[in-house]
Amino acid sequence: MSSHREAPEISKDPVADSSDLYAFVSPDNPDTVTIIANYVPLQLPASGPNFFEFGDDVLYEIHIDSNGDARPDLTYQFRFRTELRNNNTFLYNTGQIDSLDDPDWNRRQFFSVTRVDAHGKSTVLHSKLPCPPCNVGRISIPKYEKLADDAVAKLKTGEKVFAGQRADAFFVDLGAIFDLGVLRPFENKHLIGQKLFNYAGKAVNATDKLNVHTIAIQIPLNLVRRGGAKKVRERDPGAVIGVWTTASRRQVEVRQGDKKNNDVEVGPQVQVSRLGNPLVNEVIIPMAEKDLFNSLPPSDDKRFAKFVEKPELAGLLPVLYPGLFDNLAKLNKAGTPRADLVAILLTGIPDGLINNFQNTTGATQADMLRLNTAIPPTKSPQAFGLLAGDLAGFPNGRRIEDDVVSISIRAIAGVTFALVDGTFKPDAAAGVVEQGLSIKNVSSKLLDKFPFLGTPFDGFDNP
Amino acid sequence: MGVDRNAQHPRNRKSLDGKDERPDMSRVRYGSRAVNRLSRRRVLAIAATAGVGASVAGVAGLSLAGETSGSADSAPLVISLRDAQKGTFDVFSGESKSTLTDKKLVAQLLKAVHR
Repeated sequence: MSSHREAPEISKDPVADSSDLYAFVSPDNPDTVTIIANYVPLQLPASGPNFFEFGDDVLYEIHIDSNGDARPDLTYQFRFRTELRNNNTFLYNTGQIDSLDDPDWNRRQFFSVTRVDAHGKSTVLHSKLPCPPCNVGRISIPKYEKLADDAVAKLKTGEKVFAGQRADAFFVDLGAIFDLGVLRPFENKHLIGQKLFNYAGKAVNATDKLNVHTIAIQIPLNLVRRGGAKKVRERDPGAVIGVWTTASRRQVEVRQGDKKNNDVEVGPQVQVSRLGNPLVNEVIIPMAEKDLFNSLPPSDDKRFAKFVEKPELAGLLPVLYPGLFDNLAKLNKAGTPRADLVAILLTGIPDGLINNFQNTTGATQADMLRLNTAIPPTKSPQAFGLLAGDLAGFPNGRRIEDDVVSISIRAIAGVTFALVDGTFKPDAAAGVVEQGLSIKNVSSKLLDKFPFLGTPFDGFDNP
Repeated sequence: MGVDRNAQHPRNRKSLDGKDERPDMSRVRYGSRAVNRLSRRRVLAIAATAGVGASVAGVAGLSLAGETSGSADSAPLVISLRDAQKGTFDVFSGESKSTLTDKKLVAQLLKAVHR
């Protein structure tokens, strides 16, 4: 998965587990950037009576670097608080929920938004905004879309925010990929699969019909760009921002185990989850270092660069698909560091490699989702993003419909190495390999406006 | 100063009052990697909360800035022993962590818990 349960420790702490991060120039308002951070992954819609929610004891943050040092120049903090209306019922709702303040909605969650500038000065933008309820079912919530729409808030400072349940729009054939690297459309070419299958298979979207909890914010571009520029050219270094999200918990927690004494949470916040580019901690970082990766800031990522320069998956592809990745095997054998992957994941792509494009943040190696904010949204997004010539797609930021799994596999397979070494000829397979899924395999349709992610799957129809 | 849990449900955090936690976070995140690497599950050596915390302060005359007056005395305080021989320990209070050395206090604490 992109980052669902991507490391041993965070897989046991789903409330703080970031699953996907998106950043793109907003198609519904191109003078803004939309950043979406998903948490609490893999939610079964039918999960009553205790439906999913954000952690009241977790600090959620979205960070933006505008000067390339991999440290936040702008941070948005989100804190949550759960309120119970009725202590004498076990029910989430005791009647139909028709509004965000419906008295029949028993367990509600609210959030605050705080903006922190590069100097650490913080400003509370709003102290109490309502989350929409979880999508219990159409009996309990007959007009869910309206409730979710009502939960979109426009702040006085210009940002638009939303926090609540949404349908997970990430698509991945998880069952196949982690079954020794099988891609079902190529399962009959797989080292072991070729003994089992004499035909190509059809991919399965393992994350379909599951929900997540989304924190979404739409920010005017001048607030995120270096120097507050309202207009920049695509080649201007100030056009590029780096984005990542983190979740933190207090360093000490003491459980009292009784009702006489409240639990204690004290000490500084300690980061337990981090997400920039999709799949980095998932498939690039070795298991022994995944928890460490989650605890560190992007400015420390130089220590992980060796795993990007020689990714384990690049070594596996020629073995798992015999005869299809011979050129990649030679590249691996030569031991040449993968400067293409370092650029894509750790520094951004410099000017001159792709016509009319750059999203570099300089020499500092850091896993951030880099977005050139001067590139407007495309009317017909290509799922393969930059690889398909669509400059507004991954790895220039990340849109919801981008097929980041296939893009990443093709890049690791060698298609992007030719950008940095003109003598290298990628294998034919590297240009066609894919997981076999698209946004069409997500059953909840995306919205055409903020917060873009589709209506969460309801418990009644998705038991 | 400390987060008073006594007056509220543990899940009804004070966080929504907009209190800035950034200065602490910045220091911990970017200034001290060792703190980041501490596992939440490993950190507790000795936990002194509410009443116990007050008696600890009384025993050694422990005086941390802003923690000795008024209602702050009842705020939770957690002590984590780092090195018994050197007498070094961490004190967690509110949103801060302080590392202190007091051999006498550590000896008294260890005696109190029969170690």
